[in-house]
Amino acid sequence: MGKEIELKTAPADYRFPTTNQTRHCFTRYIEFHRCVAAKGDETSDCERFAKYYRSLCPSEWVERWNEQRENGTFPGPL
Amino acid sequence: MIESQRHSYHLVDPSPWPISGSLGALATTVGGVMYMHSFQGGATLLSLGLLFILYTMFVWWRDVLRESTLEGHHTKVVQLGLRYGFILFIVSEVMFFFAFFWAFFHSSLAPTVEIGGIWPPKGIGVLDPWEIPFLNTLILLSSGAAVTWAHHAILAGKEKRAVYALAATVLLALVFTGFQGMEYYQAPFTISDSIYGSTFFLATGFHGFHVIIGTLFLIICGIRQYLGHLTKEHHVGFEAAAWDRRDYGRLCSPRNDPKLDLGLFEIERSLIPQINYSAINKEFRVFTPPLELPPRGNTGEEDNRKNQCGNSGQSQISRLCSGWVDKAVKVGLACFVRSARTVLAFKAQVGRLEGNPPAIYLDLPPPEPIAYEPA
Repeated sequence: MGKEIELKTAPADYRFPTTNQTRHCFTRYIEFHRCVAAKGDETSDCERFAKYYRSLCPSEWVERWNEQRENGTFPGPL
Repeated sequence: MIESQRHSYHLVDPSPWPISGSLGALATTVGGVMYMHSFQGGATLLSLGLLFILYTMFVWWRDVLRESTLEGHHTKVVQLGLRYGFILFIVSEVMFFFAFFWAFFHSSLAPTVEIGGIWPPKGIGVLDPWEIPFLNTLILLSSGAAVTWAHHAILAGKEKRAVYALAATVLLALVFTGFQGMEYYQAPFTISDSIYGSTFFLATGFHGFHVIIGTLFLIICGIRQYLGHLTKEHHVGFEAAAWDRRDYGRLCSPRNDPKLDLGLFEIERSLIPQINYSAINKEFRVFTPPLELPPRGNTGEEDNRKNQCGNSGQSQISRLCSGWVDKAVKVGLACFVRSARTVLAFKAQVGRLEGNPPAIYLDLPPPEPIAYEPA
């Protein structure tokens, strides 16, 4: 047996106490992009936000939001 | 026939208007759907249906006026039924607009992810509620005051004054509608611009529509007052219009969003119908010779009943209702204040937790992961 793989999802966040975690996913996505905008691509500070939204969000949503950001039609407060 | 009647109820004659109105409504809905889906003849059917409805409204109400003013069928007990009917209509209208407010608060208090979780949605230029909307609120409230003036004039038998007050009411309503049209024309968003445009134009549009209906109602009241149809004792039409006005006035209060123009629209509408027919009638009798009308159907028995009710010009039901309505309004206001406090407290709490500017998002220490001990 090799090294055991550690499986983790986003930590519980007191801002999103409900079962429905849609807003949690969306907020983490926005936080990631705000973080990148503020600190640049190089830092690893933003990685954890990327991990959170990737584990929380359905990939179709992320694809759609990425497309919207490219087209300048993303509705969120980036 | 009336002479042989031993009761004061109105047994109506067979009438073609219910079925003609139904057919008109059917043609309007089918024609409307056809028109909106670009079917051939859709516009024609829609126009025909609307014409049919308008014609039915005219002849039906013409018949009602003949039955009441010329044939004297609207005895005290019949008036009571008419008042109940109109109260139920107003209640249904309140519920109709309650749904629009619900839609607005549902969409704005917790904006969905689809609109970015923010309100107003990105790109929506919001109207300043302290400009035209606030002015319109004041105009609508003034219109309500004017209709109350008209009611008191009718009750006091000041016919001329009642006509003036009604004219002022209608004028204010028209000014309101004009401003609203101007605001619609200049609005930086349309009904198809997100849930914001949808809720705004649906609610304010129906409110404006109701204001226009109320204006027409008041114009009719004014004409009937001018013709001397209204008396201190007999002005159900005016009372209905007045209730309508007051009811809408009470609906409106919060004004921190353009959407809440709706409340103003409603206030204006509620003001419009408040013409007091009886006061109008009395005033006219003072200055004009009695109308050349056939005698009323009610006889001495009816007069006795009138005396029992007192000659204040106010019906028992309206006395009953004023206390009941006031209580309901107080309870409603208390509920509103309480929910507003709860919402504000909740928002303050959330604001502390998540902070508004982006920097706070980034500086927030990540919550500690919950450690799961593998079994």
